[in-house]
Amino acid sequence: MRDKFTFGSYWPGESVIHRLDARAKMLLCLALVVIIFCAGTWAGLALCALFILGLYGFAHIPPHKALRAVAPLLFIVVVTVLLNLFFIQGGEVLFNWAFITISEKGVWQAAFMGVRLALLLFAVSLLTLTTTTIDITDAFEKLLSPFAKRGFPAHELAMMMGIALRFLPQFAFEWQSIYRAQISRGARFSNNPFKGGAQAASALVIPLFASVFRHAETLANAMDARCYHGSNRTKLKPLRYTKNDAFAAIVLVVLLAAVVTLNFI
Amino acid sequence: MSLVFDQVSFTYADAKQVKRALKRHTESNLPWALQNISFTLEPGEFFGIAGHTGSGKSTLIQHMNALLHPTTGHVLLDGQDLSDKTNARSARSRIGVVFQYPEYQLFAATVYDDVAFGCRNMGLTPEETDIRVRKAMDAVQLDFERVAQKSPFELSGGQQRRVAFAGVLSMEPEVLVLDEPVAGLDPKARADFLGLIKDLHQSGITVVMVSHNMDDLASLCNRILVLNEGKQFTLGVPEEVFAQPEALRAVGLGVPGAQRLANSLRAEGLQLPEKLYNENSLAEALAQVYHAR
Repeated sequence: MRDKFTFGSYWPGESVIHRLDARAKMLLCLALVVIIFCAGTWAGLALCALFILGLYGFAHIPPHKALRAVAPLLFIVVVTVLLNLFFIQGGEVLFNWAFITISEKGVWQAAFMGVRLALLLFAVSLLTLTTTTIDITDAFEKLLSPFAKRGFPAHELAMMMGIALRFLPQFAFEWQSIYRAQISRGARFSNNPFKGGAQAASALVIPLFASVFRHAETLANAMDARCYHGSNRTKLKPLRYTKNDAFAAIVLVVLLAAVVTLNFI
Repeated sequence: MSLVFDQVSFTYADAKQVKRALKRHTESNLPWALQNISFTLEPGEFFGIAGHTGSGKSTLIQHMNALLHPTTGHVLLDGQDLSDKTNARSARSRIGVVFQYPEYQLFAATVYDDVAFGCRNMGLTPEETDIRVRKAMDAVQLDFERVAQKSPFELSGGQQRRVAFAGVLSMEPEVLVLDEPVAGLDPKARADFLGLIKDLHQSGITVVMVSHNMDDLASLCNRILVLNEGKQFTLGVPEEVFAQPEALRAVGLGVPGAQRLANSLRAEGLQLPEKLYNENSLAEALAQVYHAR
């Protein structure tokens, strides 16, 4: 049970994409998102799809893993498709019943938006699949550091993000053991959450909160004991841009040019 | 009361995987947490469970009150299979489980409410609940007048653990299952707690205790089950179990201190009778050997 809960979906590997600098990866991911939005034609979208497929191939991520990473968010795609299907009208009417009308234009638009959103999800999850959460928080801190001079707490935010992510599995595990302990004392959680729900929920939530505070205090002491004083810390593995990052940037510029050109053909 | 483990095997692998493996007869490749565990818990006994980290101790005790169900095999309480939902519910009031660090499960505004939680879940009347809460707090030597209306979070760690114990005892279980009950306590609190557990056992409750401390197990248990990588390594009276120090060491366990000393003295050629020793009995045996010279 404890092994099943892993936050994020990092898939360890040694590929070129894994080795890209995390900052570059974050920015390039953002760029890829922009490019997908720029693609206004099916040809452009197909090009993006091929490109993303290629990236997944390069990163050696097995298809089922990629699908599992995206699956929880697929409902967004479904909702968008349905909205487009029912509300965009034009062209030949394909289906008409009571107040529901589906027209040709709606179908095309729905399909287009669906594919575009799915591609977006795959593009963004490529980042989390190939980058550890530590690297992501580091990159986040580094990218925001220019604002730190104006008083923006970039380091503190990144630290908080890192700590929060680190403790999620811990609390999930503790939640499990508290749940088991209260079940053993005859608590009912599964039958009806609204019947005596307040008492039952507090039997889970209060011990969990107590545990959060306990961990926070211990962690604060531990950080204090190690003379933690905020920013200006050195890194064991500092982020470094390499030639690969420049190359990846060039590839994306080419892709952008291609997609934009396809829009006008 | 009789609690029977009949060929219990358990794996955390998901049901689909298990089904596939059973169909193809490749079940030996599954990551089994428990394999073919069979024993009968006798009424009134003090049953010890020992094993290295990851040997399946905690998984095993979760089967005792139906928090986990065997993948194959059965757990039977008075002949009733615990994988049935209604049987599972009634088993939870008859078999009380105190998990590791039970003080982390406290939640109520007062000690009284926390101890009463189990009783209220069982649907007892307020009068019956009150009687049981007083009895349970008395059993763990908590002063009702002084502590009952305090918040459990104000108490010391050792006292919090007593409250958590009382919370299980108030359900008046026939079997008390304890997972590392003295872990993380200082020597004084440890001794107090072990004394308390001994008293509870003498009052007629069947006790199952998981521990990695062989001295505690040797001094308290009637029988000890040793687990190794989810399999039953040995099951027997402490004399038998601790008579094989090498085998125990091979699975990452030691023998009680006095017994270890006796074993090495015997290996050096001292004429000591073969039996289980504690500090006192070993001192006496050594005195006899000394006087005989």
